[in-house]
Amino acid sequence: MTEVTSTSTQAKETSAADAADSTATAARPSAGSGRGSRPLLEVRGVTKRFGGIQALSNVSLEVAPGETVGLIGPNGAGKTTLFDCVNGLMHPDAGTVIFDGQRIDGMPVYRRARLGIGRTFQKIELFAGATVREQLMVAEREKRGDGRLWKDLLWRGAPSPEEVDEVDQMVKSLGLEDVADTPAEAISLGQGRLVELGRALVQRPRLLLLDEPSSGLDSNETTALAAVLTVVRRDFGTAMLLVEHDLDMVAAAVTRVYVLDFGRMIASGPLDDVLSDDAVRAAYLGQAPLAPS
Amino acid sequence: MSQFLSYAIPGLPYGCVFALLGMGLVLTYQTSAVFNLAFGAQAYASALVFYVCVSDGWPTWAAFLVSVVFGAPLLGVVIDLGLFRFVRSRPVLVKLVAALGLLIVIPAVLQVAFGTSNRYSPPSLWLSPSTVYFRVLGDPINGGELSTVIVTAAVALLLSLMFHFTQTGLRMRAMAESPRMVQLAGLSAERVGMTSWMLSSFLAGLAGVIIAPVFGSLQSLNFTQLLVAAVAAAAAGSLVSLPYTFLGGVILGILEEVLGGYLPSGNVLSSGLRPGFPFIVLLALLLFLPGLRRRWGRTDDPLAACDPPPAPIASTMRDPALYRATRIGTTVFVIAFVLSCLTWITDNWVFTLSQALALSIVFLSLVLLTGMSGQISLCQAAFAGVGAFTAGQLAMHFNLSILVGIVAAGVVAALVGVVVALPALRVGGLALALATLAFGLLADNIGFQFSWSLNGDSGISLPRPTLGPINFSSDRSFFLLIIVVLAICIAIVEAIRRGTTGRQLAALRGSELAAASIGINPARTKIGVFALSAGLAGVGGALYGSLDSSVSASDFNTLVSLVFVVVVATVGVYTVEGAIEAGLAYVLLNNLVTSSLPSSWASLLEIVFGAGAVVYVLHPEGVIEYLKRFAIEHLVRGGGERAEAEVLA
Repeated sequence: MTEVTSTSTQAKETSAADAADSTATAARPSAGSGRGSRPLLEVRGVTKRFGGIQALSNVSLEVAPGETVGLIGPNGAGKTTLFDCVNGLMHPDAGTVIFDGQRIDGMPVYRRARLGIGRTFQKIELFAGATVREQLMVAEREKRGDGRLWKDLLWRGAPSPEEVDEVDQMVKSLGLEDVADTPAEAISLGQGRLVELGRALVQRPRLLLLDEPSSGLDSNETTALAAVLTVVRRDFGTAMLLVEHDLDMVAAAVTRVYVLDFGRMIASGPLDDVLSDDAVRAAYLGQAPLAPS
Repeated sequence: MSQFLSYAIPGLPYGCVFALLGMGLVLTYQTSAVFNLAFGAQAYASALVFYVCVSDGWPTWAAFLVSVVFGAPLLGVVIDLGLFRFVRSRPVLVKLVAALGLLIVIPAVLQVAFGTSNRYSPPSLWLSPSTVYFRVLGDPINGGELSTVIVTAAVALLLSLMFHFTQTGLRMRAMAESPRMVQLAGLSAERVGMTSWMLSSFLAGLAGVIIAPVFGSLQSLNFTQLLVAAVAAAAAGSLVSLPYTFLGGVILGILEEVLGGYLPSGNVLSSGLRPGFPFIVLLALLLFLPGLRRRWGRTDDPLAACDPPPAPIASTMRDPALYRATRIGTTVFVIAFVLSCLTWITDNWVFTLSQALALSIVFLSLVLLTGMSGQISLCQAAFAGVGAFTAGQLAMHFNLSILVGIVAAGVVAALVGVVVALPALRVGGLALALATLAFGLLADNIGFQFSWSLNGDSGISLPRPTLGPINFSSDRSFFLLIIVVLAICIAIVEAIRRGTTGRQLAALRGSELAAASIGINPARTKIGVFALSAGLAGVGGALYGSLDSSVSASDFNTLVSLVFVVVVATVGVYTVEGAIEAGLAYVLLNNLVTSSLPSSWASLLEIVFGAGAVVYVLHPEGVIEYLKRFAIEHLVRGGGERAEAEVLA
């Protein structure tokens, strides 16, 4: 892997990105939210190529603890690739990923998960054959991290009453009681997305990567999901990075957004500012004015 | 240089046969997503039919028409229609078991049809191997070699022209992507699939007839071993590229002969290393070819999600009252069974039942590995062999009690398991199956031939253990020991199923991506379970050996491993009972066949279990598990709940 790209390369952003950055600085959490100086997640100059295709080109972003940040852009912009680089499913060709002050690019997926990075998937990934409750219980047990083969062999591997309780509560707060003992294959897509979310939340992640959580959901399900996200933010203080095409949902959830296009970060800042940015309109939204209703 | 060439040139015809078989494998893998392990058996079928026709006085061309031109594609159509078209979107395990079933059934059926007599010096297809046509750098080129090279080159050329310039070729390439998309484009995926099965079966038949004269006599095991070389060739083409597969096969054949030429003759290593070479190449390719790993990671159709989920296993369907009744019933039965074995049942039967229960421990290792972790091992018998020789050698040379030896057997087999699993587990599914197959064949050819291991077919002896004043030399006391060890092994497997590891395994089986994303370390979990499974097999092997008092390499060869997988998968690989039922079924049926039926029916057992594997495709939960579910739904619960169960299923 290529060595770290420093802040000097980071400075070589395009003029569009520079323009957007200047609008964004006012909204930077470090300056605006007063949550302390160190961001929870820092992505610096990440580059990823697939053969001849430049999927990510010198992309940088930050998420502060407890902050919800949107990541938008047209299909194929590289949003999921960026998620994969943060969560470890892919390793960037260049650049660094820093989580809570610790460099994590190069770490395998499971270790990043143990540090507190949870995620959901654009193409839903449930444990086939397991019931909703079991899906959450696996995650709950992993959170405790004290499951060992030898403990199982001594018949000490059964979940404790607290763990069962915790899972029950999560099932309840997601409104999944009716399907709690149904296998993953037999539930609807909307419920499946909630289960994925619950599986991540049970682990109390510090950062949650949400990859198009409302895709394939009807408007009722989307509303329910948005409500859950609000509760999560309020009660758990989880930081979130949200990839989403539904701009209403983005507007309701985030403090600011980053815009990716063809693997390049072309703008960042509060949603309204970004949507009125010329570069964003030209590259992503077309020429017609567009704002969340 | 000339010495090198004199070794290399005779390797070319071998390489051509590897290439033919490899191309056939790639063809079916691409168009039907099945890695056809029965390919060698298909080659054997054509070679055998050809032999029989020629020895009945038919002209060679007529025999060739019947065995290769018509017979081989017909066999392809039959196995496509009867089996493989139903398994495309099934999990790797189902596909492999189906192919293994065929691998075992085809030679067994042929044995019943054509008898088991030895068939020496198989006839050549075209040019006579005893005529030297010309010399290259002084080396004679005989008719057999010449015809092999010419035929292979012609077939490869035609195949590549067909793939790139005909409509059929285009359709086959489309099938490789997704048969459902082919259907959506208005074509019959079934027909395209069948064409490719006919074509690949023709290649298998052709290769079989061409290679047959090389073997002194026609034996199906030779053709099974040939398969590994073909797999290595296909791996060289990353399972997609026909030209690279061709090249891979040819190079492999040449290297094998060169290696054979330079190695000193006369010791185990050199006589084993040459046939073992393709396995080593395959392992190396698995390790170092990243494209291959990606290819083998991909197992399903992009539209596979259209398939309904599998039926729930019977044990999850029991209602509390039924569950309690079953539990009490089982306990009473087990106590009655043990007491009967200790009192009134004859010694012969106690011995047979002990064999079944010792094998159940080996089968339990498959329940842990395949049923719970979704991994496939085709060398469990080799692990059992490692266990048996560990216990035996420790007893012989260090005078250690077999009881200590049994524990040591588990530990050593587990360590060997780690070594086998480490390279392949990152790749998963099919790659692990092939790596274990390669390991099993290496153990047969080299590992088990040394006097410090199983000493080849001469075997080693294992004493019965003693524990202080208790002597386990009688069959009844040894039966009790086996029951105790089996109970411990069952407790281990159940503890894992109910514990964190069981949940992790279920998660990994469901989605490795999601499992890693919640903090599960896939490699560590899988290697741990693989090692434990190998350890259980080792313990089972040591007990089995001690029961029989002696074991040899043939007790634990690769064919035995393959039969093990098929038996357990057929009977029920998801439950502990499944392993015990499989052990009993295997040993009792074997006993029945060998003691009560005429010798011409010797292969009946293979046919029964091979056919069982084919049934398995329809009921992947296992036949007995299926019958239980059927009974629960139809006899116990009645109509209303049955409808509900069907909705769930």
